Amino acid sequence: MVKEIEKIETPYVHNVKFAVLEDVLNWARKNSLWPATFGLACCAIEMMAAGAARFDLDRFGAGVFRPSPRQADLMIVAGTVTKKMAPRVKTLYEQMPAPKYVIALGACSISGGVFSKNAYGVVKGVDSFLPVDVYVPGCPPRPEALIYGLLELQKKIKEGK
Amino acid sequence: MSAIELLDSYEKEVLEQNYEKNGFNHSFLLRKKEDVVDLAKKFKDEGYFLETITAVDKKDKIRLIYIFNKMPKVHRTAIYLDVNYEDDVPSVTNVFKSADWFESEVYDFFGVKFSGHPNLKRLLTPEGMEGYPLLKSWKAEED
Repeated sequence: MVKEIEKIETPYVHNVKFAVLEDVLNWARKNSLWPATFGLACCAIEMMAAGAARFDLDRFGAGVFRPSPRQADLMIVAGTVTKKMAPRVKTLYEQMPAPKYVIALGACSISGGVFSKNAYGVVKGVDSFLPVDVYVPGCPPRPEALIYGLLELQKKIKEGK
Repeated sequence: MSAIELLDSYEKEVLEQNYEKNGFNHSFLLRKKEDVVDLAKKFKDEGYFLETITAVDKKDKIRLIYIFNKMPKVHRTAIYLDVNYEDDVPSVTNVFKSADWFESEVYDFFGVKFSGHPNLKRLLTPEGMEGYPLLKSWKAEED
């Protein structure tokens, strides 16, 4: 009996690796980013396209769009944030469990975009109330741009920033 | 009964009647704001429904636009009504329930007050906003 157990465990001994715990956690985090299903305007269409078969965010482990902020760790702010919506966006962000990340997708969420002058109801940049990790410019950005932004975020997470 | 006959007994100005040009089979400028509820009743009895209420800032006055329509054959009629900035306009919510949100929206963006409206409050603009953003005199705060 004792011999049998040794037999089974022997091959695993060669596969043991030592690492810093934080690095392993970051590695796991970067490869399982779950974004919140959260579209505000036309950028959301590009986000959906990025999640669907042709561009397939699942390749990077980020295709599991969660319908609840409690299960998500990435918020892609996809579109125009109005002043009326801003407190709700903040609430959703606060409901997400840490560690959490934010991608500002498109000109509107970066700076207000076409609504940055003389608009009565648009927040000029979500970074005024959210800590944005990656900015993806475009109006709207192509799905490739979002994927590139996601890869940049993964780099950032891997480095532990 | 056509829209022209419906408006027979009211003081009005008949404007352009050209569906191809502006999308309205008929358009009238109503002279007295007191007539609007009575007129709405007549339109309702004829089987019209209220498509929308909107407004235009003409710089010296506000022009309210009531658009009625009838199905299945499209028969779109626009009733224009000029009011002053501080005027109380009689609400048509007692005739058309749908006017509730239309009038709230006009109040929200132009500050026109509707007397007899059940719940006149800001509908779309952010909480605590000052001023009425679609007025020509309104200026966006620069930041």
